[in-house]
Amino acid sequence: MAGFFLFGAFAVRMNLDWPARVAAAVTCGIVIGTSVMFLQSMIGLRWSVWSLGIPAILCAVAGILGTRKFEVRSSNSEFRIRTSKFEIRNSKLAAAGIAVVILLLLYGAATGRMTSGDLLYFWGPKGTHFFDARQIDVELLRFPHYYLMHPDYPPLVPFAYAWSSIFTGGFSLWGAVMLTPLFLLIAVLVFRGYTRSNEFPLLLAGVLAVPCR
Amino acid sequence: MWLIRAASVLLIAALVQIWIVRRPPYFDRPRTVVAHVGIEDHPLHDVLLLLPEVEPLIPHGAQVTVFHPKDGLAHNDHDAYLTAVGLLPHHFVLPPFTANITVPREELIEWVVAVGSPFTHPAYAPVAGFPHGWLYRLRE
Repeated sequence: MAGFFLFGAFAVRMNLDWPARVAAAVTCGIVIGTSVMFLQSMIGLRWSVWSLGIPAILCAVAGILGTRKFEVRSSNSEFRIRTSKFEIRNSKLAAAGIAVVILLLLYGAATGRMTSGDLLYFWGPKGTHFFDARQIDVELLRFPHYYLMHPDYPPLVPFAYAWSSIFTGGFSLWGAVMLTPLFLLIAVLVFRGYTRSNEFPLLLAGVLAVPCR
Repeated sequence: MWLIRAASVLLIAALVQIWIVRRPPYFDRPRTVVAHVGIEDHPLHDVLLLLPEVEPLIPHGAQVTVFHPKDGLAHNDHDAYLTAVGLLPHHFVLPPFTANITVPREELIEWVVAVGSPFTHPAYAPVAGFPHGWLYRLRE
């Protein structure tokens, strides 16, 4: 939501199609939302639904206004004109292939077939404790016996977990795993917006999906 | 372009093959996020099932460690105790060496969660047993 503030106008100027704009906006929203968390933690303000929700809404409103301002220039965000039925058919097949990859990842996540050890060892624990403390849990990070949790790693991932936990009421390992197909879809849609093709994004989806296992 | 399409099809086929190899059942709801991540049971599967069961029995703020006992004793099971840090956010989770047989009695940790097999340290008494492990407390 907040991502529209940063990317709304920019995406329109880049002539990206709507799926790519939404995907890029979600990405930027995560960065903005977690940056707000970092700033609030720095000044000692504990995170809450209100402290995180109000900046997100303000950013979204600013983004919508900004998008309208630049929308006038945007008209040619369609894919290039396909010259033959054969090309159109292949493009649709590639789009279906992207959907298949995303569905396969959803299946893998939903049936406990994919996860990352790092999620269980430190990203998840950090997210849980940050959510619990409603700020960066400095005691957790500086506790010497937790050095294997990499206290020096940038906290974007646990911030994202804590952000969603604050709005949903608790951290969920399932939710964290289910983010994988969502993030893959976001990456593919943004790439698709730039390449204006379905074939290259399909390859990207396959290349990213196999290591996701 | 045909090369890209062929590579994409191969990658999709590889993903399907990976999911198939990771054991049936293919459409049942799994009990943990690691239920089918390999061809054998994941060592954290039991940890993820056990900790929510023992959590209500341990007072908030208490010191606890979690591990798969080796020959009945504690060992450096980083996987289990780091996972426990996330699953027991209201407790103080410490590494398994705090329940080593060589640690002086007055420095032993109060609560121990033994996953998979019993913990045989003589200073500890079992508090509760579960299908996937036991909860122990330091004897008075």
